[in-house]
Amino acid sequence: MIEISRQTWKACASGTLLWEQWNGDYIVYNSHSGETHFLNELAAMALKSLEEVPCNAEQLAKTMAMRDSIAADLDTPDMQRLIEEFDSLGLIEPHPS
Amino acid sequence: MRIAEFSSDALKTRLHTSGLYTQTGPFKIRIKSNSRPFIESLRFLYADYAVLDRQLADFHVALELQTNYRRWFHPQVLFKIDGKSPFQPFPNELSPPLFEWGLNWCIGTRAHHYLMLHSAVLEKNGKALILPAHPGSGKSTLCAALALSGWRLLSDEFGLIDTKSTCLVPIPRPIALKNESINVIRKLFPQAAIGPSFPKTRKGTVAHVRPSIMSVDQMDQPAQAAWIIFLKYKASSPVVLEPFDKAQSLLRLANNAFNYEVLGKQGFQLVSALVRSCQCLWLSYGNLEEVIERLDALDVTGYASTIDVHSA
Repeated sequence: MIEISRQTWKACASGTLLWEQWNGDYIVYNSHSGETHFLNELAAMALKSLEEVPCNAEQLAKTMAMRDSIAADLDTPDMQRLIEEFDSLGLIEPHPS
Repeated sequence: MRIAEFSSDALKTRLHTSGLYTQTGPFKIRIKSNSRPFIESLRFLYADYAVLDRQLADFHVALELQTNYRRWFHPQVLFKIDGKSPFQPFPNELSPPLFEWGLNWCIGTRAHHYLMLHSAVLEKNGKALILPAHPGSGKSTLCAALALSGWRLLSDEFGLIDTKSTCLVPIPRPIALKNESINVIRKLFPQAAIGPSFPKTRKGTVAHVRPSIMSVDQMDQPAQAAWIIFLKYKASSPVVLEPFDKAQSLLRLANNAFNYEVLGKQGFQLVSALVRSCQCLWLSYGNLEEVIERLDALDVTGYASTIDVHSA
């Protein structure tokens, strides 16, 4: 059972992430880490959302559900896992709420 | 004056004394050596390269015979760059491939003012074809076959991308064939100028194809990339040439570059711009004649001729 945190997160500072997109496949380059990542459409949507507005897992699940019907099937624990993965890749950072 | 115009003795004297100045693509090289196999190989494989006047060189390369007791029964040669030796000595008879590997090392570790793809690059009608290297892909075999069929060789090893213009900068050097591919190319192109085979190297048996005089004479003429082709050799397989996913192409090309991480954001922008502007294709082949015919017929009408690096 994944533990849901109320921690708020935001994507790395503006201009840190560079994007490229083809047919629903996204590539994001993190200029802080120098790493390049392949993201599917939902993960890209979540990361872009965290670029726009800092939020926690629960808020991210709600935002995603409003934006995409497939994302509506994802719940808060799914978003928590995604946030943890983004964090482990250095794509997001804690934001003081 | 070209290197082939030296007599063997005159070349030997030059390499023993002041050194020979020549150029491959953007790099000027001063070469000194007292290794006979290397001198003979240089005269054959670099026959059409210009001999330059004494000047500032990017690389001061030397292949020096070792003077220790081994020279009596198993002579060894040391590769030096700017007076330092980055590698252990090699048997003297392997001095020609050692020169090629050593020069690759010099370029790969120093030329960070270019994005360096580990790729073969050839050009026809002003449009360049990038063949990224992957184990078992048959990159050098196909590169040699195309170079011997009228394509201009830009490089068998380095796709040098100019960071400002994004053009591919030629660096034509001998094409290194390995193992079975040596006889395949000899049989298909009996006229090819192929140097001696060097067995028992770390890469198996190696032999080098001399670049065409056209490739050497046009080494100052960059080319715009039009195709990126990821390839796989499969014995007896028909030629399959089909579009390849752009996102996957970007990841593969980034992994394939020697200095993608070194260049950071600029590396991503350059690779991204290349992928956006080129036709990305997957090729599997088992017959060289068939694949040459297919690649000769590639049509890129409508593809962008300039690349915007900064919109990534």
